[in-house]
Amino acid sequence: MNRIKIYVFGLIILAVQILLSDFLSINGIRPDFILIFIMYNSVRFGSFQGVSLGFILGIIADLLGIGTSFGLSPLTYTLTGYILGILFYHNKIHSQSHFHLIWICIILFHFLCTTFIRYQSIVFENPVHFILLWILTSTYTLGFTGILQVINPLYKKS
Amino acid sequence: MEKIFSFIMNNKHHALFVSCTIISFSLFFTDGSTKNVELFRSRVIDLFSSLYKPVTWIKYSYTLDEENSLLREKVIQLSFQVSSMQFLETENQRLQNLLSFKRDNHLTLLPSKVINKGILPNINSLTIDVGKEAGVQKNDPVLTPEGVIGKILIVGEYSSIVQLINDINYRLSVRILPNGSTGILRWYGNNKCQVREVQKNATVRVGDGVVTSGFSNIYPKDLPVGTVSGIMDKMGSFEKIILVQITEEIESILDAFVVLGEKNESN
Repeated sequence: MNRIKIYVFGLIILAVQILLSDFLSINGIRPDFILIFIMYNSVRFGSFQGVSLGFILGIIADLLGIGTSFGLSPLTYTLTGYILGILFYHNKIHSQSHFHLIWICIILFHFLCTTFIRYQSIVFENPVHFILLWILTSTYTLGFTGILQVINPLYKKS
Repeated sequence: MEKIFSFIMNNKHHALFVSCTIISFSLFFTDGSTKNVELFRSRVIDLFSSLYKPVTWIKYSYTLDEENSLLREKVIQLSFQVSSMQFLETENQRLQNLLSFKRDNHLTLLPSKVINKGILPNINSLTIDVGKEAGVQKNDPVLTPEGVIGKILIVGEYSSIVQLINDINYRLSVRILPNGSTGILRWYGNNKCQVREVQKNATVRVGDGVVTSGFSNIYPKDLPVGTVSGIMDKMGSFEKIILVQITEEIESILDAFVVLGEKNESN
């Protein structure tokens, strides 16, 4: 039952992403609520949940209007869900500072992979623009994650 | 057998990860371009576009007032232009007759609305509200009044996905005017594109116009693309690299035209 609730909530998050992404778009960059949702579920319920959600939501996200690089979203979401689950659920990290540093690095890595594949032609031609694109895209989502961490903290002392 | 099953069950998160990764990789490397996947994608975008229509309607109503006042302003400007162009048209006609020039190619344009721009953090594609039913075909060029913005990638019955000019796999054969040099255009970032394979001795100036060359089977010639904003002339290289400014703001496109083909006009 609990699992069904999570998947239903996943669909709601998808709807939020569809409805709000255009309104929250700044210079073509939009927050990634799906990634935040996968992160929360991987940390709370483990990598099985993270991987399955990442794969399903990634496939849906690509089906809803990606041009080329079809299959990139399920790949990156799956990988992120798996790493987060393995690190935080299966091997508990007790230090708060390590906890926050690691999830920030994982999100940065996620966006590095997606930006690199989608904009690989400009990596060497226009590295400044590539780095800016990567940092801005990551920061926008990290900002929303930060706000959510204040409301509903992921780190819980065990 | 039981041992294998219990091993998989004990490591189900690893097993799921491996299988999901393999499926994702196979989709990624085929780019979803197998016939069945393409068909499925076209069905999904059709379904999604019909579900998304109310949202598009709200979005359009939101910008309607602003658009209305801009259009009114444009109407006044255009009415001034029309009066001066009437004179130019007669003169042009006279000169064309003198040169025995027959202009016979015109484009058949299909207006469309942008339904959505995907849901991922960066915009590389958009969905428009016309499909096979309106005569759209794969690889049809997509324009705005500012110039070329992409081409049709997936066609559904009532909607289609457009591969935008900022997509990594997008290339366009272009000609630089007035010089006439040709090259291959690709995305560079910040609403700029690079034109490569331009002859080293070509005289190109900042501000020159860039249009489609007509060499490809996809794009008719002389469709506007942008203007030259910079020239990179590296020592020891056999080519010049031209930077082209795209006039259209990719992220704020609301309407686009699909070029269905060229029609012959007999005067």
